[in-house]
Amino acid sequence: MIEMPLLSYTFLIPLLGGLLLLLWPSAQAARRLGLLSTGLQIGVLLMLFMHFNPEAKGLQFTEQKEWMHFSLGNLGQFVVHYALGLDGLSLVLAALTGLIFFLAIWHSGHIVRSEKSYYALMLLMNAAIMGCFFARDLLLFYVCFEFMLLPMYFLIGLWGGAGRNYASIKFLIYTLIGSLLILVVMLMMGISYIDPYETGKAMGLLTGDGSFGLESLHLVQQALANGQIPKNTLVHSFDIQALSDAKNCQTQQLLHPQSGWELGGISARAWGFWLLFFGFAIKVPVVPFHTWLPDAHVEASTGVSVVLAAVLLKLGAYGWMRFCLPFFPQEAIAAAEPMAILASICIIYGAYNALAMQDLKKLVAYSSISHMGFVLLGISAFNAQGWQGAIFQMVSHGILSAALFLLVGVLYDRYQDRSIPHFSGLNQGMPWFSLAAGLSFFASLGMPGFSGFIGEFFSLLGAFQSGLYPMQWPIIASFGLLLGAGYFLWTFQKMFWGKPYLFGADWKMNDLNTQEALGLFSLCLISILLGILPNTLFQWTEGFVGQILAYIK
Amino acid sequence: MTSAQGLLLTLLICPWVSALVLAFWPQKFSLFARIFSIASGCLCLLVWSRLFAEHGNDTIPLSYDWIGMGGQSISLSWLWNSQAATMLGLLAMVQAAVQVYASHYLRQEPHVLRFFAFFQGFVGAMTGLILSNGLWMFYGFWELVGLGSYLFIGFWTEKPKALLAARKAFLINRLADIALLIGLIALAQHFQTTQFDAMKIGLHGPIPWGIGCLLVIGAAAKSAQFPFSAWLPDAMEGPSPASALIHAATMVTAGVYLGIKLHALQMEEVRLMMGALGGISLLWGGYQALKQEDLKRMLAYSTISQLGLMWMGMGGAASLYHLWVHGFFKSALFLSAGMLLHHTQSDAKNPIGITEIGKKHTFPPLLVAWHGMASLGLIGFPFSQAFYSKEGLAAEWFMAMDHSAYAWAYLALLTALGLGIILSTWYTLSQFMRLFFSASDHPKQRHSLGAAQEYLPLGLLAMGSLWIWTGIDPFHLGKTWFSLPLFAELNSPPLLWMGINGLAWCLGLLAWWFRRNPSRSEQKVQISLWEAAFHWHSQAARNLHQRIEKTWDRSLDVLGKSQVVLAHIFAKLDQWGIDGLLVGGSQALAKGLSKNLSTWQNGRVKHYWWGLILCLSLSIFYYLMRIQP
Repeated sequence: MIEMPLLSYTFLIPLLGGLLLLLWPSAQAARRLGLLSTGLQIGVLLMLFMHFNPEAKGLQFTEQKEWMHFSLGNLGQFVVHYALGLDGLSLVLAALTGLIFFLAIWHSGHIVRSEKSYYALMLLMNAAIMGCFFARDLLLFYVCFEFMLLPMYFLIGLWGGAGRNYASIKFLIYTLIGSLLILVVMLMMGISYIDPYETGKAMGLLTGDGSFGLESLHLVQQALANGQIPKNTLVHSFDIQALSDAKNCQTQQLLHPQSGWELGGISARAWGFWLLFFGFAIKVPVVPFHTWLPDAHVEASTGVSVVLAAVLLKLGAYGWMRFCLPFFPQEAIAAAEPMAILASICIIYGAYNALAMQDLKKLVAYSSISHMGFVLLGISAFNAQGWQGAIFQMVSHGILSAALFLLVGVLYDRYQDRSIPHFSGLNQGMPWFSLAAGLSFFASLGMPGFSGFIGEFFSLLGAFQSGLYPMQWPIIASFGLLLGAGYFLWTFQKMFWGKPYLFGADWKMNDLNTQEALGLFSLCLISILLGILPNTLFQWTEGFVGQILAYIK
Repeated sequence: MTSAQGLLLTLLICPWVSALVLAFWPQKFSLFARIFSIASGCLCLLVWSRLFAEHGNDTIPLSYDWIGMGGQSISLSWLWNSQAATMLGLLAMVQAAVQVYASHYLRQEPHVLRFFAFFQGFVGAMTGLILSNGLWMFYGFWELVGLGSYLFIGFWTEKPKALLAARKAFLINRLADIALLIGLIALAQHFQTTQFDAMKIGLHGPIPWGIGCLLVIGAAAKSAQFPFSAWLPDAMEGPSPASALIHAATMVTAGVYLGIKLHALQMEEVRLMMGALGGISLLWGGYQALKQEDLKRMLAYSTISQLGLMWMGMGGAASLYHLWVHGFFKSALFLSAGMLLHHTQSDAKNPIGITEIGKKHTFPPLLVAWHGMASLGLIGFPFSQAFYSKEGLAAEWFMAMDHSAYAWAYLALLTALGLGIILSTWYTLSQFMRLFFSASDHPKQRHSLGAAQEYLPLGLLAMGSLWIWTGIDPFHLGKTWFSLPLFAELNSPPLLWMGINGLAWCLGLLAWWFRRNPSRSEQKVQISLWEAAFHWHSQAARNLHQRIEKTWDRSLDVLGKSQVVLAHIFAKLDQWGIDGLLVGGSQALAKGLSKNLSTWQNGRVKHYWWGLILCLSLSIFYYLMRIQP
């Protein structure tokens, strides 16, 4: 095991990079500094990969510092940690984040107005997202989660298209509502739950060497259940592990499994589950909370839409897997069928909307909704196939949606137009661009040999084999495969095949330049690599999936 | 790894490597690219011959770890067995012949490199499909060969009809693939395994009919069987060599191959359903082939019809045998059709029908002979292998009639076969005579044989449909140096069948004779159900977006904006109410009070005294009142 605080490095490098960038006298160097910081970050991520042990139990590379510790008087004490940790899920998503940010900055050459602030905001957002993926303390996660909104708001609002004000406000308000739901549950849980380790420490249960074994844990939980712990020695925290165990809940609290409290026929824990679920669902987004996404994507500039689609959406699904489901395992299993129904709706509804689109960027945005539906479907299965498929689909969608938005960006840079009917026969004048488009389109519609197939296939397989709900939901969902093929093929044939035609008289077909080609083809290659050798991804997440499912069930 | 496994791996990898190499081949050296591709195809053929000669009847497993998941592992597992060997042999021979043909046929095509790269990719996918032992891999390659078909149909990307046809083919196949996917998942669930060779009927019973039906539906689209047959005739928009390989010999038979793989596991009812779909396709395809004026479309309908015949075999040995035979004569017919169309300079803008070709052109006797040889194969005449394969089919049904509870169904299949033979005799004779022996008032244009790269592969494939490969006796299968493993499972039908078969030929001949100069009306434009469905869906999508999505978005928007309105109302309230009434009011109150009260503090001692006395008397009065009761 390596001794350096690698997670903090990953988190701090973009922050420091952003600061340096702001202080640097010349604006020309901004992009290069941005690339340098994300490149460094990728280096650290590679080190994480090298030293990560996929078979080990629990979190690795853990770091912990006390951040706040205060007394609540009669309610006990509160402690908040700056606690970081890494498991397979975080590792894979952090790697995706690093890669996507590098590419997004790589492809931001068209930004000419206030570059310094643009790149600084990008790096700031990168740091916040990394913080989200590494946080082991719910409050720390929440702070990062909220903090990410601001850079995004400015990035859309300042460098976006014509409707940027509307889109950025819409994005901000939607996401804030989601955060509000999360905040409510977080506070409820923070007050109801105790941190057994810290409480044990306050009770003097810690042995000489400061270790806290299972026995002590049971002792604390037993004492809590019997109400033997004096009020002022109770220590609350937002530690994820403490919150994941219902035995840490105080008996008189609403959230206690035996509290019997109900509102509208729904128990307090189910309320907690659904509030958290929908809080994160807005981020994913799940129909019907998705209407911020097409607007935000269309108005954002290329690099920002890439980040938005490839990374930000993943935070919602990450929130489900990390918080929502482990916090309320019984409620989650009981909610499997509604989740599968929502997923099917997402898949079909998103695909139908994509089919109706004339604007390429909107089409890609709606296809994102459809593809993220498969993530929810996989999660709702609560088995290894489904969860592995869901994680795979997250990464695969990250890579493919990035590629698709870059493709749109290539067109928009040249013609300031994204309307599908305005292009035809692009394969004659732009063969490399068409090749990249063909690869990304077919990968997105789930052709075997590309990553999209593996993700969708295993999500569906998991849903079929789950047994928590009847077969009709995955059957309905599988029609998304057909619709996906429908809109992608229609677009592909309309734009890239047929007689060469461009809407504007003075438009010329210029094929990809080296920079664009490098970014696009590296994404396509990754997609093919993952599609042919899916174990390159599965091996990292297998431990996580096994443990969390064993815990939930 | 044994040497056999090594050869198998070569067979699997070689086409993909070639495809990759060809994809990056510089455009300038396209001649070498063609030679390279042919060499790669011949290598596959050689490897197959060696494997077939040494291990024709053996099974060779080959397995690699692929995915580990939740304690179970999904491996890349391949299996060579006698059925796979037969399919692969057909693939290897036809692809090698077609590549030689295409290298000349497409010499002026600017995208010839792309053609060969796709071609190798398709061969790789088809090889993978044939050798797959794992269910998921099978499904993956199944989709990939569909992609290959799509890319070839839409090969000439500037032809609008080709694009429509390509999309149609892909989407119809994708629709059925959903059924296949669900069927395969359920199949794995039923047998508790994801390997074809581990499925044993003993422990779990045969495949339940629901799963069986799903699988049959999934396979039906790939084989262009009723009710999914609409895509195949349109698929003829692609280059002829690709049609010969993909839409005649190999990919369309993938559905039959799935039936063959699962033959022993299916319930009889499901098998009969397969047979029924095949029977409908046989008759419908034959009937449509009669009416076609376009040579390639006619061949496509004939393919649907012949595939129906394989389906009627329900995946038995005769099915596989007919698949093998059909691959040769049908790809030969397609290659021949390609040559005829090239000679007559028929193209998309100026299509020339069968009758017109015959009236204006004469062709060299060798070409006529080969076309005739393949046509005889299509009819299943004696001296062709198809004669035996149809015998084998009839024999299976005769035997089943004795044992099965569904004797009537087998009788119906026999009847359908008889009708099918009448139809195939009729349409084949009709196209052959119209093509080569039409009388004409005008002098005909004479054509030479053309390049050897074109007519030699055609001749070889046509010869492949002859009986000589299977023995000297033209009426019975014999043992020769070349015999397929499946010959052991074929049976001979009772002599009665000979009579029926002969009668069917005669009827077909008569039918042709009496209708040999039909008045052919202009082909009606068919309203394509498929186009209607696609149109309906895109319309529905637009409606959904306009009605639901926009409404929902707008109502959320209104909700958001109403908050702003509310905020303004609150601001006004604040201004008038709190600021105006409360704050302003209290201000006024304080002002008024202080004004009034300040008059009390006027500094005059006399007034203070009066006040003091008043207060004192009031309190004395109050206390007196308290004491009273």
